Amino acid sequence: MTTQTQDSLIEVRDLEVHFNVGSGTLGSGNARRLRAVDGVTFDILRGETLGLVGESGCGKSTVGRALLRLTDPTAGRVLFDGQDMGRLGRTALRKMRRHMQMVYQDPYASLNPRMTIGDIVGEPLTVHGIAKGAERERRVADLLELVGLDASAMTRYPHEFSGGQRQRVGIARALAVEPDFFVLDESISALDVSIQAQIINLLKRLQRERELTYLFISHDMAVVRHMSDRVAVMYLGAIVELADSRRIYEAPRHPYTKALLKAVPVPRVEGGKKATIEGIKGELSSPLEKATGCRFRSRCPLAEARCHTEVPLLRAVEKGHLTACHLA
Amino acid sequence: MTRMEPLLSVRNLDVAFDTATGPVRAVRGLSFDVGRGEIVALVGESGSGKSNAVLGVLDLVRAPGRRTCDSILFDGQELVGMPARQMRRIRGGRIGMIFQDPMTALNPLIPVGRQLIDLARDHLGLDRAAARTRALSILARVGITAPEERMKSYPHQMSGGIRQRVMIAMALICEPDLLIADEPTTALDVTIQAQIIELVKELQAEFGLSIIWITHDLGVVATLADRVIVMYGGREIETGSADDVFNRTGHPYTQALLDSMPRIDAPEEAELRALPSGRLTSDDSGGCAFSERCPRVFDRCRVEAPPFATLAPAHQARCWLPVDTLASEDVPGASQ
Repeated sequence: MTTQTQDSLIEVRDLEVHFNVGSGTLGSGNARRLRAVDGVTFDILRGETLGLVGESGCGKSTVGRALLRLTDPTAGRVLFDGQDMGRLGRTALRKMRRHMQMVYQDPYASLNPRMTIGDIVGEPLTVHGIAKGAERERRVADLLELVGLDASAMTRYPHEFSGGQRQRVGIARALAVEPDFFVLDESISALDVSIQAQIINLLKRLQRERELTYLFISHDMAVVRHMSDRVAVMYLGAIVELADSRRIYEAPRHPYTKALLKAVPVPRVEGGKKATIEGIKGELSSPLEKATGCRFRSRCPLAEARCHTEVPLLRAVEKGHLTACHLA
Repeated sequence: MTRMEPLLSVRNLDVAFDTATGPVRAVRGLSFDVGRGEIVALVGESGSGKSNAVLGVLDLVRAPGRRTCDSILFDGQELVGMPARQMRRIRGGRIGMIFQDPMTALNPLIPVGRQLIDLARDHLGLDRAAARTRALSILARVGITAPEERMKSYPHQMSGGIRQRVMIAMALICEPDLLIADEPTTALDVTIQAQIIELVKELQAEFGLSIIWITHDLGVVATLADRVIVMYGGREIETGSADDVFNRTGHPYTQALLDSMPRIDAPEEAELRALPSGRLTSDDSGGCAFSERCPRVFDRCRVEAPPFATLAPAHQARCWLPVDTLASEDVPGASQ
């Protein structure tokens, strides 16, 4: 389907991540499989930000974790720089992980409260045998400066910093090993609006300066638009639309993408009238059952007979614009 | 709306917490009114005092917190100094409440139907059968399908959106005059948030409710609010109609909030106009709490707290140098 292999840093092919749920206590036979990620294929191009949006439970975080192999895929392949991650042994995988880092949502939970900022940022340097002693200290100071913190922060502890500053520490830590690729999982969602903008600007600057590639996972349509070159929209474990950011926001083709955009409240009051938004009616289909038709049909205003019996495949409706809808 | 006596009138509300290093003043001399049938949005970031303000109104501030207030008139009744028992009848009866996390408001051990029935019996003195009929009808009204079935469910058996609907039903079953909503949609997906907001707007029109809606999301404010109170550092720093606050923004902080939001309705900008971080300016300096972060700061701001400047009838901002009305004509969205 894709012909951009030469530019792709990451290639994901038919990725599936299923979880066993309802463990079937005492042999009650209730064990079921949750299809968190149910066959996704996409590339992340070198130097781009791919946004991954969707509602809670759609599988977007699981995709991010599977890319870093923090979760083992049930099926499918993830290639990083042409290498199949699934075929790497433990040592090789650890080496590979130097190139990919994760920045988490909660800057309060993801920093060890008993470690100084210097040790938090310096730890990956030690673990990967990159630097120690005075050299390590010099590098940590550089990293802190790079993310807009004073080097004097090194001797202080996380609780002495605000949420935005902690998120800068998390980013400095992720940068320590000079990675090529970041998974940013709701990395700014917990921050106040006025602080979000600072971190967004920081991430964009770092991407330019260090030629980083980002997978930007978020539920916030406005933030994703601002961050992303291309955007993938997920629904119930599958990608339903993928295109350039501009096309997703200005000319979406999938009914789900359209509905998501109509639900976003916009901070604008015109003619003294309140802005209107629309929810999506209908119930979410179960992620426990194998899709027998379109996953969105239970909530789709356009659904017809075919949507109930035939799973729509992700196909190009225009160059570089993929959507999984029979009617698009 | 015709000029009549407001439903709620709060004067000089303070909420302070005693800490090892001295009292922290979460709410400082807040005064505001809520008109009958009016939706007022209380907007602010974390720590702005917006949640403590309504806890103060409801007399729900717990130790080590303290509330002091000159007056809270609710429908002509003075709530300050009201005996606790009487206050409890007002809360949940004439004032309904919904919160961000329904699990904190719903009893996890009791089916939701019984919780609704108990409320209706306690507050309205209905017998069991009448209370049950009322519970069923309110569940149906908030858009719950198969309410008979749902009555038997426990809170954990419901999705976040359904749980929030049940909480709205709990808040409305006694037909309150005032609904206080503290970030009730913040934890929900946007598609569910949109359903809840549209539902609240319908119910507001139907019951003639007054609403105080607390949020940090200016998008939500634009969909709901008649009037807006922007809070910073425990004070109201701008108040006006939604139209005034969005389109003729007065306070530099409000302007900065609007400017720093990424949006889906405006041409893309390469860089967001971020607000610098900064601590609240301490009380001792006597200056404006926002002065350390303010792009328009000048000497006076650092030593003297600004009083409300009236920018238009019913539009005020606490600023020595309110955003120039002409300059703010290039509102976000229209800017290049």
